[in-house]
This record gives sequence, structure tokens and C-alpha cells, in this order.
Amino acid sequence: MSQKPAPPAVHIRPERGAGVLNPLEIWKFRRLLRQMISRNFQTRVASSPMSLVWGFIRPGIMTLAFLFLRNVSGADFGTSVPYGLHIFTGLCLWFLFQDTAVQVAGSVATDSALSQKVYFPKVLSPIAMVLSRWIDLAVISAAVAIVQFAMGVPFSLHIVYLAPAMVTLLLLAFGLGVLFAGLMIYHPDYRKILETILYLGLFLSPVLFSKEILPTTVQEYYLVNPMVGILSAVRGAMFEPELIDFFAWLVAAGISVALSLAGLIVLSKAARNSAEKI
Amino acid sequence: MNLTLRTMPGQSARESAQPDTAQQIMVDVRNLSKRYQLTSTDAKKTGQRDFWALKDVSFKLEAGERLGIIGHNGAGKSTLLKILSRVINPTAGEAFLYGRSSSLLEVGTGFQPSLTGRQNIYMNAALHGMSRAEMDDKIQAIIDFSEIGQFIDEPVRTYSTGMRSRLGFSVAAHIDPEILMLDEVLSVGDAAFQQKCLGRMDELTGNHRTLIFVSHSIGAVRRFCDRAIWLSKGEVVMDGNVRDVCDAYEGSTMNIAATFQAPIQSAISRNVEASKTQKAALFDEMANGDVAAIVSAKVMDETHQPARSLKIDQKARIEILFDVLKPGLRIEPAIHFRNDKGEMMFVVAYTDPSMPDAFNETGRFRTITELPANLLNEGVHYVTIGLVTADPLVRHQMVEKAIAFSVYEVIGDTTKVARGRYARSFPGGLRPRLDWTTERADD
Repeated sequence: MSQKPAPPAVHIRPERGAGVLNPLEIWKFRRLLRQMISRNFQTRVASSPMSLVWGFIRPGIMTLAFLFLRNVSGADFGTSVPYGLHIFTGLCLWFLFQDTAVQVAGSVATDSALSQKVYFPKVLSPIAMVLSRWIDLAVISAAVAIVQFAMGVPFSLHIVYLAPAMVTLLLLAFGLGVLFAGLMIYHPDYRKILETILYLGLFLSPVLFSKEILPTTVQEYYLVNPMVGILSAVRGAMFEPELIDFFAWLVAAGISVALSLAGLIVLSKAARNSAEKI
Repeated sequence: MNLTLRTMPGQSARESAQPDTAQQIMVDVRNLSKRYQLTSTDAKKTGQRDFWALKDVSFKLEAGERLGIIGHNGAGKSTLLKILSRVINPTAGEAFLYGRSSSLLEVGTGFQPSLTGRQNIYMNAALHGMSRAEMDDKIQAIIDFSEIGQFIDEPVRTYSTGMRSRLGFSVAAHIDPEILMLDEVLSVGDAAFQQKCLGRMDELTGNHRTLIFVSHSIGAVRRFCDRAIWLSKGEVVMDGNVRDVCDAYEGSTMNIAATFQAPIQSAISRNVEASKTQKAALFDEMANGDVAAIVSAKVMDETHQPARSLKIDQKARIEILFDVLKPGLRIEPAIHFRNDKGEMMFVVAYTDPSMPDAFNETGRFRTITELPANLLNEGVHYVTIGLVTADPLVRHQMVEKAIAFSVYEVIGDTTKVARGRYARSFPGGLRPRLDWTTERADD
């Protein structure tokens, strides 16, 4: 009889180190990840059949409101394209970012009943949540493109930057969400802090205005807000190619990666800490 | 046995951890311990914040072994299973699982109310490591097993509790792991659902699959397992043959004693070497108002050995040793059987044809009665021993629940027991196997 190769084993032992992210393990759970992505999407559609449409209807209604205010006040927000297109794009991206961050933050708690009965890497829940938003990206991009076309604003070859810019947006939402997912294990009130940050962020980010209206000295420091680089990248890819700020985008990407890593560490430690206490 | 070993999702390979192929070790647990930190105010005040749910638990499980974990609430059973299922991490020690493992700690884990039964099947199957292709092959069998029928494409929120349970178990019952870990999942749902569970369990465990089964039901452990570990306060009290461990556990926790010995030894017991004349005098002396006294009683198996537990398809013997202290009263033993709820099942009258007048003379007597195989149901049975005069009825001595024993059934040849094609537990204290004669009557 031929010698069979030695079988592999599951090795269970006390968890050591940060235990941040094991890509090999994520890969091994890819089938479950795929199912969780599908579940998240199906659950959303089942509970709100119009959920995808709301991704651009809500920003559209707000855009009309801001257009009215701008026309009444005559204010100049420093945009080089029609103001309606500028804020519609900004609001679509902001609400996508906001909803994604909140859902990622809540994903671990949502799946907690599951993770107490079946083993899977905890990080799978936030990853599945953020990946299930890809279709929103597509819908929003299409909506912005239609508005842009309707307004007669031309497209450029910079459109190739759209996908990586959107990925950066989702990465930032993931980083912020996963950080608060971990913090919320320590204390549920961190959810309120996240909501406050996101509410303030709408007005502190160049969603409703262009960063060009700010003084040059302020603009340098303004880059610490990662949404500055991301919004300029998306708008640049779609209709303002001359305004793409690659340095700001790089800063935003760096902050998103750092936030994601920090978030994963906090989540890992928080999950382990809570599992040790009764 | 030709084992095809695979890893479940997320199982990490470790070169240094190779199974002993000669013994086909499937589970190797080494000094597993789990400590929790208590966060209550009392714990903070007393400074005793560490709670060890599991302490230095070690065992090895070979391929095809079926291990039952028993113990009181808080003994560490579920903690052990959760560690082996990787739901929680151990504080110390390690464990190796060789082969594809799957754990079922709860039926219907992760069901999304807004999704349909079919969508939930795919999600649940992915949780247990099954691929889409495997699921495509099995989905019809799962739907059929669950008896959900046309509702399979309706949202689970519209299902009754029973339907959810059936669907959950149905998915779990079609996972095909080499190491199966179950925690009390058989105790949920209605009787019909439990019947399904037990039937499928028989199939799963009978197929040389390695099983770790946590349960409060000693009957279920006896039925499905061939080995048991008794945990108490996180430590292994006993590890061995399922019968020995369950006997010891029941003896310890349910006050089961297969033998009864009169607490005060009579003068005759202390003077076993006395002559016949001396004994007669002793009986007169002992009587002193009493007319009879039970000396001892015990339950024995077919080999005449005292036994706390008996297989359902084996005969049981009950031996009573008693003294008749006054002549002419036609004293005879009587035996009452009660089930574990204390309900009277039946009374056995003395009918030995060799003693038509019962016991009319003084002396010490030993009598043995035999219970036929396949009479008593699974579970614990309490036996009250009495000495009576039958007509008119006078109870001279009754020792309530003098002895107790459990009856258990093992999976295997169902033709030897009164199980038929039923999979569920049978109600009542009796489960007789009767003869049947059947013929066509439509000619």
C-alpha cells in the first residue's frame, strides 16, 4: 500500500499577538465570505426593495434643496462645474461612505450570535459588509454619469481613476467602521460618537463646497481629512480632471490603510478581551 | 479504514502535528484550560476574579470513537466543545483535530428572517464549510428531510418555530464531517422533530464517524456513545467506557445504588457460623415485635453481577435476602417499580411455585426474580422492596427506592429491541417487545 501524505490538522491553542488579519484564513473562508456578501445584499433588498435607488434619491433631494439655497443666497462655493453636479456627486459619495461605515461598525455585533456558535474569522463580517456595497458604487457611478451627461459636462480619460478612487472610499469606510466595531465591543456608546463624527464630517469635508475656496495655507492642513483627497479623485475622474490632487489622494489612501490596520488590531483585542470575561 | 482527510475552512496545517496513523487518532486534546475573568461587583470585592471553566483536560479520540461528555451545569462541557469548535480560545493547552470537523452547537444558527428557507440553507451550509457544489447536490435532500415543502421559497420569518428547527437540523444533518461535535441539539423541537434528529443521529454515528456529544441526557449518551468523559468543575472526573462512566455519574448524582444493605446488621448476620438451633433462638430474640426484616437487595445482570445499568435487551435479576422472624404469617416479598418521575409502573407479586405457602417458617431466605429482556424502557428505574402478608394485606416492611438502576439502549441491531422503525424516545416506563402475527385479510 502506498504511503499517503500526512493529513493536515487543525491546531487549537491560546491566541497570541495582535491576530490582525490572516489572508490565508480569509481565503479558506472565501465560500462563507461570498455567502455573507450575498446574504447582506439579499437582506437589504428583502427589507428595503428600493435600497439601491435611495443611494441617489436622497442625495438628489438634498441637491435640490442646496441648489435652492444657493440660488436664493447667491453664494459662491468655488466649483468649476455646475454646482448641482458638484454637490450631487459629493452627497452620493458621502452617504455611501457614511452608510458603509455605520454598517461595518455594526456588522460584528450583528453577527455575534453567529460567531458564538460557529467559528469563522470575526473580520469576515466587516469585510463582507464593505464588499456587499460594490453594487451601490456601480449604481451611484451610473447616476452621477447620467446627471453629468444630462448637464453636458464632458468625460475624460481620467475616468480610469474612478475605480481606484472608489476603492479608497470603501477602504476608508472600512477602516473607520472596523475601528468603531472594535470600540463598540468595549462600550456601545461609541456608536453615538461615530454618528457624531460622520454628521460633522459632512460639513467639514468638501462635499457641499470646493476646497479651492479655502485659503492656501489651510488647504495643506485640510489634507488630514482623507475625504478631501478621495472626493477630489472621484470628481477629477468624472468631470474635473485638472483638480485631481494625487498627493491628497495618496494621503487619503495612507490614512485609510492605517485606519484599517488600527481598526483590525482594536477589533481583535476587543473581541479577545470580551471572550475572556463573563 | 481508509480515511480521506480534509480540512474545514480555516483549518491551519501544522507540519509538526501529525496523527498517529497506527491508532488513527482524530482528536488529540492536551491539557486544555479555559479561564474567565469575572466582572461582577462581588468578584471585584473578593478579589477572586479568575474562574477556571476548564482545567487541564486531556484525551485522545480514535477514528470511529463516539465520545459523550457528561456533567452538571457549569461542569465545562460546553466550554470544551466550544474550544474544539474554535468558537472560543483556550487559555492554556492545545488540541489537534485530524480531519474535516463540523460542530452543531445550536440548530438554525444564523438564520436570517427576511431571507427564504432556500437562501438560508446556502448560508447555513457555507457556515459549516460546505461548497456551493456540495449544496447543489444535497439541497433537494435537505428540503425533503425538513418537510418544509412549498414554503422553502418563503421568508423564514413566516415559519413556525418547529419549521425553523427542522430546517436547521436538516442542513446540519447533511454535513458530512469526519469529526462531528454536537451540543444538546437533540433536546429541541417537538416530539416529531426529535424523532427525525434521533433517526439521523443513528445514521450519522453508525457510519464510523468520530463523534463528540455533549448532553444532559444520560440515555442519549448511552445510546450514541461508546466512551464518556465525566466533567466536574472543569476537570475530568472519569474517562472510560460509556457504561462505567454513566453508571458512576448516575450513582453520584442521582442517588442510584444497585445494592441495598440494611443499615443495622441483625444478630443473625453477625453470627453466620451459628448452628441451626442457635439461629432459631436468635430469630426469636430478634423478633421483638418485628416479624420480618430485609437484609439486602441487589440488581444483577445476566451474569449475576451487580449492575447499575442494564442493556434494554438483557434480562435483569433482583435478589432479595430477608429474615422471617415469626412463623405462620405466610410472609412474602413484594417489589414495586417506579420510573424516574416517581410514577408507579407495576408491582410484582411473589409467585414462586416451589413455595406455595410463601414463607411460613422463621429463617433467612434468598429469592431471585428475573425481569425479561425488553420489558423496561430506557431510563432510571427505582425499586421498592417489601415484605408483606398478602391476604389479608399486611405490609411488614417496605424499603422505598431500596435499589435503582438505569436501562439503556445502544445503537445497532434494532431487531433485538422494541424499537421498530421509530427513532424517537419512547414515553412511559415500559417498552415491551411483543410478538406479532399478521396475515392478509382482504382475500
